Amino acid sequence: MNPLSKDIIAEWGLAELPQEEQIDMVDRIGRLIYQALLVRSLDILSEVEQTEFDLLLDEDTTTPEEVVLFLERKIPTFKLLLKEEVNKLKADILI
Amino acid sequence: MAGYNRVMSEEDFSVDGSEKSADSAHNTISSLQKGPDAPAAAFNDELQKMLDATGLKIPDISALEEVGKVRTEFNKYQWDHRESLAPAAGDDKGGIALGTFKKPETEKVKEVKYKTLEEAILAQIKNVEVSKDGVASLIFPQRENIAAEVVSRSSIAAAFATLVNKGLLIRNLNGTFSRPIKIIIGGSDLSAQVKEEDKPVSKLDSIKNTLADGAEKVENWLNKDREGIDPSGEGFLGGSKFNMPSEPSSSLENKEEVKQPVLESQITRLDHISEHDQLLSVIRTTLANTKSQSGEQGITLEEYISQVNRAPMTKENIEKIGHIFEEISGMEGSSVVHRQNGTPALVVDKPKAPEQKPLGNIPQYTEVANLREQFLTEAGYAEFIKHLKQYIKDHSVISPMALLNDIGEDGYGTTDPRAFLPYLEQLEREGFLKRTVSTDEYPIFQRVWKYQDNLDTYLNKLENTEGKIPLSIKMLRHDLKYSSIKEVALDYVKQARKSEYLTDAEVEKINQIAFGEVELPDPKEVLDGVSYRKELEDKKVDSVINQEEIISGELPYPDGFEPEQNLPETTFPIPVEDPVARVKSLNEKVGEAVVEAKGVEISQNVVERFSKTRHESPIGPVYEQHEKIDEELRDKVDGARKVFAGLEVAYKKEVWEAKGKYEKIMASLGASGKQRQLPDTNPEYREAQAAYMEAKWNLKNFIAGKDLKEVPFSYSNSLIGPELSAKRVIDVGAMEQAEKEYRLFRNEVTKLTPEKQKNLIAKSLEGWTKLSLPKRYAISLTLLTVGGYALGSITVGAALGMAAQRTIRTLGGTAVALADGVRFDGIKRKEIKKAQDERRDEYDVRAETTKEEFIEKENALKAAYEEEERVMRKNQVIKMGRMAAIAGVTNVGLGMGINATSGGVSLNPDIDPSRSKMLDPVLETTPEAPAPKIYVDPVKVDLSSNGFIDTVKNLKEQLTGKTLSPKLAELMSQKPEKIAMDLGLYKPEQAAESAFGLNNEYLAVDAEGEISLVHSDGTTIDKLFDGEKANPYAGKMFDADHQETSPMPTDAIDTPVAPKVAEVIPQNPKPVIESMPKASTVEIKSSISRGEAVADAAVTTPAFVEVKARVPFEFDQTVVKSPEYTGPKDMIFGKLPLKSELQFDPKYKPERIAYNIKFERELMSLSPDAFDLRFPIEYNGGYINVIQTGKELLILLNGQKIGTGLIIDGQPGLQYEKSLGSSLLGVKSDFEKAFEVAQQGIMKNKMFFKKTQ
Repeated sequence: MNPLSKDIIAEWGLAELPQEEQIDMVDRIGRLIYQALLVRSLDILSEVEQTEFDLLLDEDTTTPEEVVLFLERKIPTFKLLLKEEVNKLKADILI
Repeated sequence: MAGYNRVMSEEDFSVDGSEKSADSAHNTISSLQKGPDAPAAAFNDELQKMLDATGLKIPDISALEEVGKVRTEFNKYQWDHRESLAPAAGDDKGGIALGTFKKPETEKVKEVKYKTLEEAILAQIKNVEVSKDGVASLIFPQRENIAAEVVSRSSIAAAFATLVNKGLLIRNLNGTFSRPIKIIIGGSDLSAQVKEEDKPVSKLDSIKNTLADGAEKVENWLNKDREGIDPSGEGFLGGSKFNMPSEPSSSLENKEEVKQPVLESQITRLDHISEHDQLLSVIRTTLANTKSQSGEQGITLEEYISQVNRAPMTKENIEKIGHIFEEISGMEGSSVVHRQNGTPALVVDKPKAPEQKPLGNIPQYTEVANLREQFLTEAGYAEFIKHLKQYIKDHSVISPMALLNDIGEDGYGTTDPRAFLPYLEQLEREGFLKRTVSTDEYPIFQRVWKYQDNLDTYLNKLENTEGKIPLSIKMLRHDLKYSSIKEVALDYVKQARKSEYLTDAEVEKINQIAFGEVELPDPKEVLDGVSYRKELEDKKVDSVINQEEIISGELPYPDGFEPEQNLPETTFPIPVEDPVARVKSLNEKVGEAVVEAKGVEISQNVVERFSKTRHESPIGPVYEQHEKIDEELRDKVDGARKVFAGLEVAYKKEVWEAKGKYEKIMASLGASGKQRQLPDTNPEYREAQAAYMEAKWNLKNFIAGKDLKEVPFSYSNSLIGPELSAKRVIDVGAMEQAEKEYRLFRNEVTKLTPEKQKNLIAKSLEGWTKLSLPKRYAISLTLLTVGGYALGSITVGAALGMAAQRTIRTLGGTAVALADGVRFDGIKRKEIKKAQDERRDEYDVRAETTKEEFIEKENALKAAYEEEERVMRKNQVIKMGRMAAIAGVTNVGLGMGINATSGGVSLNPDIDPSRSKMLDPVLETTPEAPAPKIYVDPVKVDLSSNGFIDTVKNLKEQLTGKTLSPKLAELMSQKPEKIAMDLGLYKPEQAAESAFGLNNEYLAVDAEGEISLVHSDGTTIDKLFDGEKANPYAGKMFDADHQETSPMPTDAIDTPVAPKVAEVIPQNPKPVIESMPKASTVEIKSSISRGEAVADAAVTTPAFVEVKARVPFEFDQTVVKSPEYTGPKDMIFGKLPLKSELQFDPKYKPERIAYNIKFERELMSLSPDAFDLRFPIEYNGGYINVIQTGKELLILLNGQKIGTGLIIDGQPGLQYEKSLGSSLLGVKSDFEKAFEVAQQGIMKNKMFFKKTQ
């Protein structure tokens, strides 16, 4: 079973890749978006929130998902940022 | 009755919702009683009364009657006094003075309930033009609502803006609003005509000839098609249905005599389709095109009635039409002449063609305007697009935006320039036009490209001859515009363009440019500045492109480019050229050309790559050309990146400073907060961003071998970025480039990033590297779906959300240890859970897949999550090792139904250790986990009576389908004979070729993949394979062919069995891989890369040997059920502990591990609200878990309660479970030792506990 939905495959133009490469691509795409989001988000966080964020990151158990959740809670326009980064990346990698 | 205009003047709102004084230029007739205007003012009052008396039914003939009188008097007054009256009264567009808005209709705004303001406005406006005051009158009835804050002025203004943006309303140049005119000339019949035509151009002529003007159409209908009038009230005009008034005007008294109230019908119908001005315009045009039967100049009233309307010469008709004549005769372009016989006749000039106002080098667009007027209303969108495209090609239109403005003043006066934008955008989507970066110009893309392309070539040539050209110069080729914004701006100023059609930002920019406050980069100046131009002229190396063309802003057709002369037939929607087909075509064409021209074999790949660029000419070495282009594009990206990165940093600094100030102010006020609104980016930033994106876009397309076609960027939309259409595919090369580019850009920015932020970024990225692939994968999908942007991908998001929730649950009690003792109060578990729940719920609602698919995916993801989460969690605590045992134990075959790796991980995660190679430098600095080790299902094979080769064969069979370590798999892939040789069990080169074994001995493969020969005493072994390499057997050998010479073991219990080796070697042994089921292959592959933790170092004590030799207990045999035990979940609370005798003995380590697998599974099934789990502490192959329930702590060793605790002010007080026994004579019991370890772990690690009430 391919864990990727057909829509994801279609949206990111992954159909022609073998399943393993699809997963690899999703992983790489996720990393790029995650990185870009971080860089963008830090501009928005206040000093206090950045400290809070720092403490969160100091936790060994903090996962990127928690990071994303944190940012999503702190940044009202987070989804907008996400969409923007997604679109930018698409422009960079889709043909 | 209050005067209509006076009523309107009670509320004066600008369209934008702000209040301001009434605009006297429109409907309001101010009462002027003093000064030199007093006579006029008196007349105004009189006029106002008359207007009030009319009831303002503008199209009504009786109203026109009055209007005519008023106008006649008005004109007389004006003529006599030779002075202007109040602007409103003096406006020859008459309808304005009358007010263009009916009061009864305005009242409907509050009488009728509309769903939206937009709907209400449209209902009110219908086809009537609404002046600014008309807008105010719309707002006026809303006064109460405004006061009640039901609606706001700004919302009304916003509604207008929305309607304009949607094209449902047109904002005219004179500030009025009107509905798009669509009915004057019917649509369906014309569309049908168009469809019947073959060639677009001929269609155009045909249409233009057929539809010289709307009046002619009306006239034709009046003359020929009156029978088509539907008595029910619906009529046909040019094929379009429209509603007829149910009753004719009351002013027509003699209905019987006038069978067809022609003129009135005409007027009435026009009432439905136009306003008064347009009505008059139609009549004027009709008159202008109506020749006198007598051939004399002008047309008399009677002739008009006779020719046009064929109406009886009734007194009423003569009077009514006479009024219109009078009105028209007072208008500009009309006059009354007297024929030779003294009969007055009306001469009406034909409508003038719009005055040509050259705008820079922009040609006239009257024709386009005509096309638009016609095709938008008649032939429809597709036809219009097609002809607009043709027109732009034919006329070399270079700045449609300016064109639109020009159209806006062409006399039609009903077109908002921006109304054209959607069509231009459509052409851009087709790849025909290209919206330039810094302006809203839409030059033809091909030409822009060719232009830049030639310039590129030119600059490169120059570079070859003159040395390196500064990057700033090279970048200019990218920045060069078809016509500079300065020119456009100056044109605006020259033509006194009204700023109301531009945004404030645009006006500001134009003003700045126009008045020299801002100078845009001028390629000419720059080139001059570096003396390149002169050198160019001297050296005459500019043959590729005319230098004057470079600097003039004029864009000629470059060499080799000719506009298409004939447009192909277009259907709607207009198909976009298939890029794949195009590339394929280019490939074939160029490939053939290259081969023919060069006569050499060229790598097909190179040919393809080359041909996929737009450089179709096979000039020069293909490869060099390719490399050159590649280098140029990369240079462009480099330059654009640096520019944008610099501006990005500057912007960030601005943000940080603004944020700091804001927070300081807030702090000084004793409050906290942050500035939510980021400063706007400036145009320079946006332009640089768009340039960077475009440069990347071009490089990407080149890498992908895609024909450059569309560049979906402009600074105006860069906030969100382009929305790429579907049907695109990912390109691996582009992905690699994107990764590289992201890293480079981040590095550029990071250089100047404050240290604190830099650290945060590094920390965050580090977290990513610590994740397993399935986890990263799942988060990636979450990112891709969290905003709902992945079309329909919510299904996965749902599964992820649910799986992620479980993940969070497993982390629910994770301690937060702060070195400084300060409690981190950021992410609270419950908040996370809540967020996850919300997300899950959202996804659930939006899930679109079938239940079965959903469950299947969800299960797969869940399994992956659980497994990987377990791995991660254990890794963090026990330094990697537990999963090894998990695998080992489960594979021992405990039969507990616990298979940590069998969670249906159909994700095929295959964590590839080499994945780290993809990480960027920042990420690569993060320590990676040690290479994963694979654990093997232990196997035991008794020695075969047929010898070791047969034993090995049996061993291979036993291992079939099992997960093997790479080395073991490699070993087992050989023939049994070869394996036996490698293990030293068979040495054909010597006489005593066979190892000596007894029939109660066996070969064993343990969890580490080691192969041992276990001797009959059960305690001595020969390790033949250590998991990595073979340790050939060095024990006793014998000659199987001569058994009598073989040594007999002195300690043999049974008679050794050593058959001849030759007898047991298969003649044609099958390769192992073939003998295995297919699933085996998959598992081996999977196992090679599966990222699991490293086990504890193997020990080789006798006890360990026993571990490997014995079969572990069944789970039920290892636990003690307390009386309170009600179910598996009670394991978490110490109700189902591991038996004491199994707690410490090394040989029972598998049992402890198995117990904890079970324990953890139960743990994860519980709600995080039920308890709070602290870090497990590894102890002697088992685990100490600390569980908080309210104030109370429970310390478990493999489920056995070994201590309790109480939280006081967040600090735990711990107590050993004395029932387990205390130390004797100073010797601590094993449980006490475990408790001490737990105590130390809790206190030294500053394990955090929730404060409780």
